[in-house]
Amino acid sequence: MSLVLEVEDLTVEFRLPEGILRAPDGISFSVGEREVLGIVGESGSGKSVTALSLMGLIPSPPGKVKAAKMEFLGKNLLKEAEKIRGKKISMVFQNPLNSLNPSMKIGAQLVEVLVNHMNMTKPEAKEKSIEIMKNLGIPSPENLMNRYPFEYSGGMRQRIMIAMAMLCNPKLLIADEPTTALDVTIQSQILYLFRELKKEFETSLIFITHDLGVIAQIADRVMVMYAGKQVENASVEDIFRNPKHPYTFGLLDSVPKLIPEKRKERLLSIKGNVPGLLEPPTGCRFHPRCSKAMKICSEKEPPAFSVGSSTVWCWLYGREVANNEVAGN
Amino acid sequence: MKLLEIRNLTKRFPIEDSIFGKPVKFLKAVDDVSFEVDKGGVFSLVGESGSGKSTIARLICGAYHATSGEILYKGNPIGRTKTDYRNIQMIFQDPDASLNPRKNVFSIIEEGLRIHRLGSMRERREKVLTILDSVGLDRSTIKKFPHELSGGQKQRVSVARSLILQPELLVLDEPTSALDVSVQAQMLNLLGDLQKEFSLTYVFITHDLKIVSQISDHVAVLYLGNIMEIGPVDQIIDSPLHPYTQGLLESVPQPDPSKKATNEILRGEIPSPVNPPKGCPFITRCPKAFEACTIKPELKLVGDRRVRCHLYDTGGNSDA
Repeated sequence: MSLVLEVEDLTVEFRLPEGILRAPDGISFSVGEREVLGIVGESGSGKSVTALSLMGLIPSPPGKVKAAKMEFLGKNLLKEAEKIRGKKISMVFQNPLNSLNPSMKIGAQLVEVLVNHMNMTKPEAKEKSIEIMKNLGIPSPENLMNRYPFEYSGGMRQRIMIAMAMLCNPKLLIADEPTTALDVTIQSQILYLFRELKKEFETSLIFITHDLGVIAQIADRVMVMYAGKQVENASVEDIFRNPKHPYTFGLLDSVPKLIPEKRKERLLSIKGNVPGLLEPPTGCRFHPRCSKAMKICSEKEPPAFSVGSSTVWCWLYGREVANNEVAGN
Repeated sequence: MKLLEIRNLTKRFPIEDSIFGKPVKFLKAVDDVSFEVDKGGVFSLVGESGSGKSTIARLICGAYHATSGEILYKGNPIGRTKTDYRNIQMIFQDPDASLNPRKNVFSIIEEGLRIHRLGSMRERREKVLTILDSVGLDRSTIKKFPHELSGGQKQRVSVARSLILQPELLVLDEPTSALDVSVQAQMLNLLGDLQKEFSLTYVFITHDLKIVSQISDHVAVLYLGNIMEIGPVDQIIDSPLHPYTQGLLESVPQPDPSKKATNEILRGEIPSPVNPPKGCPFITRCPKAFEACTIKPELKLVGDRRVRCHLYDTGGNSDA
């Protein structure tokens, strides 16, 4: 499978009056053609900042994006993000009401994209917008062009945002918690739409969410993030059948289940809270909350270990290396 | 024993006035809802946005007055005894909005005692410290302000505040929705422990069926202010009868990649409560709708539960 996006050692640094905050901090990942990469993590894990840095949307100052490699189809995203975003990479945000212009008709907002990026004339752009919305199963798109965002429900607005993101036929679509603000029945409709879209447009997708159920439904591969670091990269089957990192374990156990056997049973929760990123814990950032923490975990940051087809950043899978480190010291 | 009985509760909000200021158009947020909550039980109200679940919570706590119907607390109309509203406390979804940012944790939690003039200053302080222990907060939290706490800690303060008056009934309106997954699990465990420790009764409002399954004994599924299905949680979650309950359950994304949903489950969206559909409220989205559905079905007893659906008109013999 050829790669659409390759990221190595990505760090986004924010210089704040209180100190320097890094999230994400040295993460590496790639997205293949027509692949769905799920990024899962709790608030403050750096998943949204990762997405924004790919789009070149980190405000500078205070932010600064650094990476050993950030390549999209052979182009350096660190330098050319402004030219690429919107056309070859597009993004769907969590709250569609904040991302649509409330005082512009929906049609005008859609047409604007095509006129600016594809040099189309207005009538051409209008025709193309209607065609895309038809492909996405949006009811009566002709009528919708002349209306304002407030006239539509949250689910419908999110569909419009997705249509807008697909207008230029991007190679990569980044969706940041696109279903979090929606009701469950609407969420399942939007997830269905994303799955259809993958078939229709041959687009790669980065899907960011905190909901493990959603990840299982949509992703091919998963990156689990915690406090700015990646802790596990694996296929979606491995994440759910055969999780390796204690944090992934904990996250899976924290979700209440619908099955009768587990009903009313205490949930196996992770103790403590997500740490602040200005003064992250030493060594492995998860060690203060980890039930399997060893001595080395608080002292040295774990490197990437390959276990089967997964990559895990945890000393449990590098005992030999860990022992040598301790002996060497 | 029945702690709380809701009988034919209806709440309408005026949304349009005539030129003389008389309301002419109403939004029916809660439509003829009846249910009972056993002492020591956990009763869940589940539904999508606009289903009227939060309105019912506010009616129970006396924040709204019912348009018609009754709420009985221990057999008497609620509010008749002075201590009723001390015995019923509410916990809200967003602790940022429900905790006063200018008060420290001590005065937030102590306020109820002060208002009801309970105990001396020293006794109240002692009580606040004990309650902090029960909700798993460090005693040093007492001097902190809400902005110094994490989301989970803030929600623990809300719980402590509601418990300080030793209530019998807690009304919880989406208490875990604003929290991260790992913190949500801690919160659900804490609520379960507190319920046993203080023999509390919960009315639990949520949109998340996974939480309903985790915490409750009985559940009512709401749609456009109507109860669609109500009964013991084991029956409703494991073998839902109403097409809406079925759709709602199927819509929950399963944390299992082999169970990927392949088709669209429920089409369309919840209609506006300003213009509810005629007949069955669910008629616009129901995959099983037929001619009879243009007349609104009654809640009918099927086994241990009640269902509002014409499919079960013959007393549950219909094939679902």
